[in-house]
Amino acid sequence: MSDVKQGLVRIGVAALGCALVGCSGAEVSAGSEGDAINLNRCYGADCGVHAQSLRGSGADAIPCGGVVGPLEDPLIFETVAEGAQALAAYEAPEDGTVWALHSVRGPNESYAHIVLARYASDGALLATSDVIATEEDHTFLDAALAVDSTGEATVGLYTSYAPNADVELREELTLFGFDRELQPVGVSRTFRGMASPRLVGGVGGGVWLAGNAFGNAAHGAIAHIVQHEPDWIQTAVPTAGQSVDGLSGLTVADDGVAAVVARLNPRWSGEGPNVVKLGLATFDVTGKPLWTLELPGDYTPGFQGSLGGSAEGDLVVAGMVGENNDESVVRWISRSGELGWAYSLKGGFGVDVEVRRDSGRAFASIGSGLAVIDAAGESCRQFSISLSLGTADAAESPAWDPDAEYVLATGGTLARLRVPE
Amino acid sequence: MRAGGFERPRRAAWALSRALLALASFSPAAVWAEEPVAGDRYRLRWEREGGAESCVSGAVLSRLLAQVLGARPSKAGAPLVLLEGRAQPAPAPLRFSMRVTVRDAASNELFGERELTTADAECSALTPALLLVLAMSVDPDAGRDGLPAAVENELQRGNQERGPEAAPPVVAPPAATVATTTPLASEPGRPTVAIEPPVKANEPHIFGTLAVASEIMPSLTVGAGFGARLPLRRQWSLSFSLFGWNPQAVTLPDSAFLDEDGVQLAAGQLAASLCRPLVGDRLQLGACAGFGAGLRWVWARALTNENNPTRAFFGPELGLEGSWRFASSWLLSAGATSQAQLRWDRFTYRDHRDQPRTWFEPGPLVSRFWLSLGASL
Repeated sequence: MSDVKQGLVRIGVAALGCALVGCSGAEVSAGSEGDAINLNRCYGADCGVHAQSLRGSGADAIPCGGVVGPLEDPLIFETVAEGAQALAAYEAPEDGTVWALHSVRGPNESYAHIVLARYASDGALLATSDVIATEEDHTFLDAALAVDSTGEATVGLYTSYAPNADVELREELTLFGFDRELQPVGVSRTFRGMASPRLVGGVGGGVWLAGNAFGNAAHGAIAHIVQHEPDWIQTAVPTAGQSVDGLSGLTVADDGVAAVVARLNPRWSGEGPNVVKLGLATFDVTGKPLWTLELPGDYTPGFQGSLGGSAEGDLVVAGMVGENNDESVVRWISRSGELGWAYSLKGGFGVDVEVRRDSGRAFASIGSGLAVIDAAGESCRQFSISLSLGTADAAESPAWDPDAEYVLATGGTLARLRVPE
Repeated sequence: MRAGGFERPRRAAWALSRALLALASFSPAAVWAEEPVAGDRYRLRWEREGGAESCVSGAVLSRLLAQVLGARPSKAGAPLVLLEGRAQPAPAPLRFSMRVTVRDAASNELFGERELTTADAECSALTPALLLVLAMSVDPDAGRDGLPAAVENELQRGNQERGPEAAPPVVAPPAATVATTTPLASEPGRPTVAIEPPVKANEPHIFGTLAVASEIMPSLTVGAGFGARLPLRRQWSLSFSLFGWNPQAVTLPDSAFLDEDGVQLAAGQLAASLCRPLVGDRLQLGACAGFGAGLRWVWARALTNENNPTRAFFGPELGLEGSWRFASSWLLSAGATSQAQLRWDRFTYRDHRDQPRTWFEPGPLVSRFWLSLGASL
């Protein structure tokens, strides 16, 4: 018993000593969050909610009419620098001012600089930002631009950098904010898990960001960013997954309902046609998935779908079809997922569609032409775009008409053209 | 005393046995007593080994057995029974044991054998049980109503006459007395004695444990463990146990900067305690006191920059336990143990603004509630 007592006394003394001289613990840090917003994880939205899956067989696409003539009154915008390339452009629906993201490479510079420029509706350069980023060797860069209703512009730059094949790819998506004077606003935010971003400015401020990770993406993501902070992130965004182009278009209605178009499947058996399906997915203003819809028909591999939307939330999707790379289909879908009119367009190598928010008129750019389809789908007219564009002359330019004008950003050219009525 | 069939009023027998012991202790350390009693009914051989001098002597036993059997006539055709017994010291924690064999005196056929043991300091505690075993081996009806009053009185008187310094306190519960037997019931006419499986109150055993713990992790966690208990003197035992706790995912406050929802926390624990039964016998309540130490492992998978710390926790612990020996070698135990923490860790992480955020702060007491199944070695 005495041994036991002695043992207990020793344990007690050791414990007391331990407590007095430093066994007491302290803050034990498990680690730290990164400074990049993770777009691979659902946050702040209805996570785990499944969207209603819609199916529909829309009307067969009817051929759009032939080319009725050229677009009129070409107006070339003032250049920000010699050799500047337009990466993205945004036309403000309220006053026709244009924001454009340029890649500028000086005559003696090996690297291109990314700058943001703002133009008046007549093409006059109003302001240019400082250099936002610099293109470097071994670096892939993709850019997106959005302007919200408060007039704040958001530039999204995605870079992936790998000096050689033996090092891990370094990817980064950064959003930069600018005011109307093109001065930086707020802090820049970096994101993980998204390449080739799509950006749309919101009515009440803030931007929607959508896309999917580079290469192998099991799902896409859509996020609402308010004042440079994530409001919500939804990852229930269907995309094809492995090694294909995924999410390729984003639009947001005035009530905050967002829609994306994405390639749904990379199905190819190794022989025969490589079939591509496009699908739509919509989300309410809180990020809750609403419905998904697989578009009828097969689309051509190697081309992305394009998406435009009206203020009410009706959608227009365009994509290449057939095996000759010279045909596309433009299709209207209501905000509730019902299929409407569809036109087929002849013309090559990709299609891009825009929808005027108020009128719902659709502009589908195909090669060197433009198809204009009214909101009801009752008319489809095709126009050619003259390669010999004119120069800006504000005095001779007619008043800006949001429904009749089209901003063309192609290569080193930023121009406005008018649709003849 | 715990031989179920022998559970009788014992104080008189207790006192008497001690008185008789005082007389019998003058006999040599090992004495053969062969007393042919009652002619054709039985013969008794009784031996006390060195160290068992306090056990009943052969002469006293013979006389008391004759009193128990009284003048009951022998049954027709019943063989002459040879009763052989030996009293000897027993290894700790027991003190004394008695082994009795019952044979056919003519053919030497073994009818059965029994062993009685006690942890009592006085061997005379076994005398009443021994008398019953012997008597019922000769005549199954002999012990049906317990020992005769005269015998019980004599045993009790014997205890009292041993004097206050020698007699154990009457209020103290007698230490466990156990009996083992080779059944004889299959033989018609043989005495059958209802004897329960042995209750080895303090013996080495191993055990496996299922447990629930609080404050090891942010919420209750289940775990499993195993251990061993080693007997010490005076019913003390030393218990070692090792627990592994089911890893738990701790959800961090929702943030767009997290990689995953939470961090993983795992823990293991080692404890050593001194234990002692407080009350009871087959169903026993006991207490343990000791020291425990463990480790917590953190896998901060939710964080971009992982530290993944491993931290120790330790402190003295106290526990209460109840145990039930439901079979001779099997023990079912349950209890609660609380450990006072000598280290007060606070588990945190840094958010994207580099502000510390606490995700787990263990309380000052780590408690576990457990259920274990033990097997005697």
